[in-house]
Amino acid sequence: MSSASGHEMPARAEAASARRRKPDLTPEEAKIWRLAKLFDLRSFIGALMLIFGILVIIPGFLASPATIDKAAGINLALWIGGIMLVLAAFFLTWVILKPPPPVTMAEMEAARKAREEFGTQGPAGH
Amino acid sequence: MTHTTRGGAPKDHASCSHAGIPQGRSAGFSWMLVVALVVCLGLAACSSSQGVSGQTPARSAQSGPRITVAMVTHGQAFDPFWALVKKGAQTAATDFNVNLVYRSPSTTNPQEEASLISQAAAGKPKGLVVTIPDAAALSPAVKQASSAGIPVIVMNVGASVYQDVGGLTFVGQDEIAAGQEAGREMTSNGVTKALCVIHEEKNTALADRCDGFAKAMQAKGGSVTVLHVNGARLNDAANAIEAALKKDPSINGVLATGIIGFNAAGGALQSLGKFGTTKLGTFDVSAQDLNAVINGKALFVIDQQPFLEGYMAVQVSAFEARYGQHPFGPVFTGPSLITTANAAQVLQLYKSTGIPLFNGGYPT
Amino acid sequence: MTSTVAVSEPLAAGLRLSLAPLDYALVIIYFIFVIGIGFALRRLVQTSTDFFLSGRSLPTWITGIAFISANLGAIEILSMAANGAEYGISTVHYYWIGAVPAMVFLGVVMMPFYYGSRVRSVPEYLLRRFDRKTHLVTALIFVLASVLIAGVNLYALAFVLESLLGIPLAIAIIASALFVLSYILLGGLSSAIYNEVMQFFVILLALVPLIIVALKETGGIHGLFSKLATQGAAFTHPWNGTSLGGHNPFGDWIGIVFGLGFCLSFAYWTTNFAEVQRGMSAKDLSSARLTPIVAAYPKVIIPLGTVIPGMAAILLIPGLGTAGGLTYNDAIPALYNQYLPLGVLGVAVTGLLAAFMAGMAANVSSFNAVWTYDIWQNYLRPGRPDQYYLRVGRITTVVGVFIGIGTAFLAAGYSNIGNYFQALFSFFNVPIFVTFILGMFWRKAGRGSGFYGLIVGTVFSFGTWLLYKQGVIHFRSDIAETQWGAIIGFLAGAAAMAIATIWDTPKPLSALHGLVWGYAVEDEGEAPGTAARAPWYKSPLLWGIGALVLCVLFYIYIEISA
Repeated sequence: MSSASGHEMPARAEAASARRRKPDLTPEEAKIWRLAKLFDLRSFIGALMLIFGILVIIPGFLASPATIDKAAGINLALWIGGIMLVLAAFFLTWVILKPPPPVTMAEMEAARKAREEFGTQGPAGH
Repeated sequence: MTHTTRGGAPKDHASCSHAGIPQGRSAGFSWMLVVALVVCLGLAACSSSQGVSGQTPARSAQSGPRITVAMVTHGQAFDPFWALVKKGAQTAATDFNVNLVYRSPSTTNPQEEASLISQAAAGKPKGLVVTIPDAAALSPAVKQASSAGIPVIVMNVGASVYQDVGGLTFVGQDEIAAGQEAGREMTSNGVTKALCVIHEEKNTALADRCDGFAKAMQAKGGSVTVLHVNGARLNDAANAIEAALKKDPSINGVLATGIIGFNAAGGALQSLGKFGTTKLGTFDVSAQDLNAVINGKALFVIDQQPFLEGYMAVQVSAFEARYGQHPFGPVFTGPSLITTANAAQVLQLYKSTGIPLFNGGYPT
Repeated sequence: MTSTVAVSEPLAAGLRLSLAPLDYALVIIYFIFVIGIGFALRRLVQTSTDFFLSGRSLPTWITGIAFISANLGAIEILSMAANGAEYGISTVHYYWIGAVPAMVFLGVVMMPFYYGSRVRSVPEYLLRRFDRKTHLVTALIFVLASVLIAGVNLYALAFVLESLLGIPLAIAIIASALFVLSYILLGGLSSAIYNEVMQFFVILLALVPLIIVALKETGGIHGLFSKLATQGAAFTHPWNGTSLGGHNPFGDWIGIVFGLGFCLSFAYWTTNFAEVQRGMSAKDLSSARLTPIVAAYPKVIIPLGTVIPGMAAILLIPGLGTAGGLTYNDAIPALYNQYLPLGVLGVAVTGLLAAFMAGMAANVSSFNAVWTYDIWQNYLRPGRPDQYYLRVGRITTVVGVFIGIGTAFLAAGYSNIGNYFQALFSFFNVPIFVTFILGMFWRKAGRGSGFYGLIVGTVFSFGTWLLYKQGVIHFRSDIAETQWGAIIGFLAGAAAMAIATIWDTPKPLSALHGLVWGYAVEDEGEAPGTAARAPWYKSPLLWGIGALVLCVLFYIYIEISA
């Protein structure tokens, strides 16, 4: 691992960069990782904002002067649609650049054992 | 206390979904769902009869047999002024055993109102109440109804034309007299030069108010400048009033001709810091302008009593239909002058008693 | 003159939003996402990727946003605007005094307790700290309150659907309830949290147009406040008239600071199960502590989107609050109707509906958790394996939703009932808090004293309300009464606990490990001490103070603008 600065990297950064290396995952783990990336919350938010943004901004481009006048002289559809598209870009970029780290089966088992021993927020299971 | 393992979501979901839902449980589940659904539908059936949009029950014929009166106005039902008129009309309908049919166009449109009048007349009601904001567009339809034998009452606007169209009487406010009342009140409070703010173009009622106001002011040696502002853009209106006041510092009174003008004028006066020196008056009641009178920021509100207006129109109509008698001459429900003396009491009447969503404790 | 026109509906009849097909499409797309999240999380669970789900694994940004979102219910949004329209700028006290300090306290002080002691609900804490009768009473109250308030939320949602969109009430109630039930059952707490985060952004997008339009139309904050000068100084100055003899209808400063700022606010934020649950889902103690503090920042800013538009509404919607016209509750829907164009309206309505549903979902989750683990597991069927309780949990959720449906129909028949339920359960909130907070900070509190503190505190809260309603004692307004009722309930409850302790000994100190201040749990790296080693820029205390400073700055800004 390259360390241009020459001093020891903090432990967390080291782990993260270890993950960013091409991981050696079993097919099962790879599939799970793909699912985790797909169903990451940021993907959902990004997708929703993208769809909403497009659907809202298009009427904004076609807005008649009467509509703009009704909304206190502001083309609200353009603004709100624009904000949503910016949010979409933000979340989708974030999830692509910093995806959830892949986990091995061993780590998952360990986490599950730890949870069983100490108890989780039980009502999660309904 | 021991650490009992509560088990996390993962554990349950994993095992549940691998094993599938056990048969017994699903049977019990569906049974419960069915029972619950039946119960809910039953409750739904019960409560729909006392549902949110209830019907006015027909009263026994204490006031004579039930008759139909049609009311066609030019204002959107959504405007609180007209909502009050409608409320008054509905109250009278309940009191006098009348079936009220209320119609108004979705936007301000005399043509649409004319066709609504024709439709209403075609139903041969025992009485017809109409507003006539635009005599040219509406006279034909109204004349047709009155010459077909339907008693016609003109309400709110059209005081000068009700006889021409065959109307029996007029119920509402004489706007010129209302303006004069405002003038009298202003001059007796020391106003010599005033600004009259009209916030809606082509509204003859507002123009009449300023006319009456100017007459009364001139009679006492004062003068009035009329200012037209765009009521649809509140901030622009406020700036325009502020500019007019700055241009002529000798103006010591501002009369707004309606709620929107009042809101704009209030802002202008506050920006100039003139609430003590410049007197503010307005027409038409809102919780805000009554509050302003109570707080001493406004001098008076002139109320045409829309609730009474709607009520009387239906009452007069029903009386004519049953007994053949009606007032000969307009019935004026305004101007009613509201000052600090009676503002609080009127506010009680006009304050919405809508149920608060949240009692002010803390959300749960 | 005839009698006052009575309006018996929370929203006025006649305010109907006209939604275009595009607007409906946006709503439907959002609901598809909600259900989609449920299925997706289920799929992840099936493939054992539960690593990413709740159960102490969520990053701070998610738990923080879920935290604020669970609180951002539609009733709160609509009524804060309504209060802004009726009482003016003083409504911000609900946020800057009545929320942020408590949220900061929760993060800085309380989270280590919850996280370290591993109690998962306030009733469970009371069981360990006091005795079974305290626990049972509290659990029963929580359970009843959750399910009834869920019903009230459901009724309000259905009512809004009916009056704004024209969907018949019965259908709206049942359809909404079944929808919420399905996404809770599908994905559990994780699903609820994910939905809350998604919903947060949609709600923000429902409020942003309001603030833009309101300020443009009225000339900015300064222009808005000038035009509202006619309503009296208290309308535009939050602390004006709050002296003890003053006339600000919101209340006097003692009521505001101690009643709202301490009693009511701390009672809600430190004991509300839905909120605490979101914090506990965080990945570590530091993250849990930061959760409410991260949430505090949006909380500071949200009044710009609710209170300010409410105030603007009385200028822009003529006749708001006047009989026969619209009620104050209609402020936001009326602004939507008057200004929003195609598409933006759809987003706004989506935000409103999402907020309603999440409110109901949070209540149902609380109901389920407390019923299953505090009542069922402790008293009715103890000692069964975890599988059993998880199944019970699922059944409880379904039953809870159906009770909620029943309550909603009840509320539809008697329109004031929602308010009565809210008032009723508000009497219990502060006494439960007294019991909790004294149990935590006063290690001498006797084992049975919690029970007496609860009962006496509730009696006094309720009594104050009753006497006020009967006209025996006077407060400036209903809001002022709730503040003072809270203070009185708190003091009475505390006094009762102190007196009861004279005859009662606390549990031995060994049993109180982790439950009392000064005896926090030292638990493999999650002791409060570890948090101190977090880098300075992650310090909950620092960010918490930042939020409080922001509140002060906003107060100053408001005073200057008025």
